[in-house]
Amino acid sequence: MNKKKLASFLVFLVTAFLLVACGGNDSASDNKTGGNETEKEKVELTIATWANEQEAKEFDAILEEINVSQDEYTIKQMVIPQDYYTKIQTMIAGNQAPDLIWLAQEYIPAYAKNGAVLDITEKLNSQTQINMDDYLDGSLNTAIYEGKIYGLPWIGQPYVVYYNKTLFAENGINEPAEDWTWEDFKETAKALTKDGIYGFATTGNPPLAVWIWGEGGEIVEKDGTVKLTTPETISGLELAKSIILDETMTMPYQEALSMGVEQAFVNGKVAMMVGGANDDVERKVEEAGGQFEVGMAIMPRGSKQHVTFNWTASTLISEQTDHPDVAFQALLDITEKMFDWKVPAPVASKVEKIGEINPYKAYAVDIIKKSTEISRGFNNLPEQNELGGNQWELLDLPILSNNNGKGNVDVKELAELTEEAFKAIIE
Amino acid sequence: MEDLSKMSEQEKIAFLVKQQKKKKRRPSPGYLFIAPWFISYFIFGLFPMVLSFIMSFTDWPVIGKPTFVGLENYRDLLVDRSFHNSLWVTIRYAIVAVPIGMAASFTIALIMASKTKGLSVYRTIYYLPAVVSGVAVGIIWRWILDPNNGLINNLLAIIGIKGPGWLTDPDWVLPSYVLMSLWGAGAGMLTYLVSINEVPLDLHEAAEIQGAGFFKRIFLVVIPYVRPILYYNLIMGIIGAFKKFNDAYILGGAGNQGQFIMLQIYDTAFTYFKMGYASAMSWIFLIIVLAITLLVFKFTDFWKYSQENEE
Repeated sequence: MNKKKLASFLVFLVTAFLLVACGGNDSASDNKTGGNETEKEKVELTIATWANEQEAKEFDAILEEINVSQDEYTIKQMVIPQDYYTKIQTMIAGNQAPDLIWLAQEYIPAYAKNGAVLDITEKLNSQTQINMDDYLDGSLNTAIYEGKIYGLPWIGQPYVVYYNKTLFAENGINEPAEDWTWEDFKETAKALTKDGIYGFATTGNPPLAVWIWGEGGEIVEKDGTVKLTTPETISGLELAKSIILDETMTMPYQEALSMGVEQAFVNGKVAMMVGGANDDVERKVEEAGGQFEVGMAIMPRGSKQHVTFNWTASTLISEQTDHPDVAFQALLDITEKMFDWKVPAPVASKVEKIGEINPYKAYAVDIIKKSTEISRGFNNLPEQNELGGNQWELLDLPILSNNNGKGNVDVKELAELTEEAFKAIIE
Repeated sequence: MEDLSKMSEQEKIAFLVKQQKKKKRRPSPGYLFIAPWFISYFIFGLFPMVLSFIMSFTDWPVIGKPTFVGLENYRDLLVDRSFHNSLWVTIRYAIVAVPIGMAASFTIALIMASKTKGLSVYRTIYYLPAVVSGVAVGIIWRWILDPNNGLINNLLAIIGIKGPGWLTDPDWVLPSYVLMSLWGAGAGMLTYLVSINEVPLDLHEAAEIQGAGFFKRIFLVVIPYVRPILYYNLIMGIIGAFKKFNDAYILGGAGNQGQFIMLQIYDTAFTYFKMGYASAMSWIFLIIVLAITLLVFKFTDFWKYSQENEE
């Protein structure tokens, strides 16, 4: 083989490799050549999820049901249990994005701003399959960016207080009322802290925002105005600090971190904890021997507002899909089915059904319903991840860890520092 | 076919020289065998490098279209405190972890080079941690360094010492990572061991006759002899320390003290949607590592072993 031939061979190999690597995905190409969506051949769609093994099986069953119920499309699940967003972003960059994507609320503005997902506002206005008025505002708002709807939330999980009912009874303490305040919470937690048991423990739940919102404050407005140093926000932070750092009611952060708050609760070491309404707490207590009865209470009321955090996630349509109309129909079908899945649906008419869907939660349907009514998400901005990362390092962690055990936590100073960082990021 | 017998001497010589040249021109088939490496290097190494250089002049959110911003990313890096912090964290880590790691590997190699019973078993045991994946190592160390139920703090508690929050106290994050870096000391040990075993016996004997004890022999005979290996491990150690990612990704560290530069680049690109900015970070970082490596290269003569050097 002479030099020229060898060089040509190498160039051929490299080119072939690049062409293969950079080519579109097979199904997409097939669909494109297959022609328009009116043909009888079913369109193939893919939905990316972060489901775990069990959830993936359940979700596959939902998709299978949808696939056999109509002859327009076939949808399959692409499970990405680890590094979900890294993979999704890489796929988008490589023009290989799945047709539909699950996104947690904090990612939606960035995807919307960069045109990675479709604006479905008009399509939603002209459909009747899903009653948009039934959506709870606290959930639907997280899928809206600059007035346009980009996705359909399929979960709206309000944060609630789980408590050890048995321990309350043993100590003669009244169970939390629906209108209890943070002052009541403190009193209760203090009364329960004895004999190696703490009234409360946290490693970040509820988010500081819950205390801030309750006192009438805000972290950042939807238009990007940072409100971390307003008197209301500082008041909320002071309230959070007074609970988190008081060892007469709250387990020290280091201990809570290494034990795990939920584990400490299940083991009976903590009397109250905050978690998502659908967290598996009751089942875990039962599996650990059922030493006590679990109770669920609404988040305590702040001095200005009764509010709780709402964890939401939505399904969105990728801008790269070859079949936007079919993908939209699939989005409606999937969302509708997911409202009857095991997760708390973000629509008013289905909240009560959680007791039927998840029997462990049957005892607390009323509390979950009331919690969804007062729940809300963050005012997410396209820079939300960077803001969240900075907030955790500059504000949350120093408060939670009592300035890494060194004390002298000055929330005003921390808020000013965080506000400065936020402004730099947003600007 | 040429008939040599009919050629004059001059023609024969000219013909043979021509044939020889033809032979030389024919490329070796070896090129074909090494082609897969070159191709993958081109596609997965050089090509992304060139692309990242181009990207470093853009604002590219990964999920959207890139916009050309000229030198803006590089200008922003000059005043980016989090970038400076992660650079400083990485440099401090490298300064401490590389020499300590080398000393640990060398010491283990010295012990392994002695004539002890069951040495091959010990060698295997010491090398084993090096084959465990970085993620698994991170998870193991998370348990070892747990402030309340971790192995180290439980041992310290036995002798009445309250252990620190290794990864939750900013002052202890870097020492924790240095401690963790010793986990891989067994891998470095192998190269030292080969080199130590190659030290001629007569050098040891000569030193012994002249009254050199164990430590003198180490410093005057063994270390000068294994200098090229020390040099190799120093370069690889520096590059490895600067590329720290896996365990930092798993463990983090309070007060941004576990934010090594590679982690910062990853977060910037994939979590903060700033691929262009992250690319600029990578190039600045490359220049810094290159400068440090060149600085070490500058002292190449010091690391060479030769009879003349020793004299």
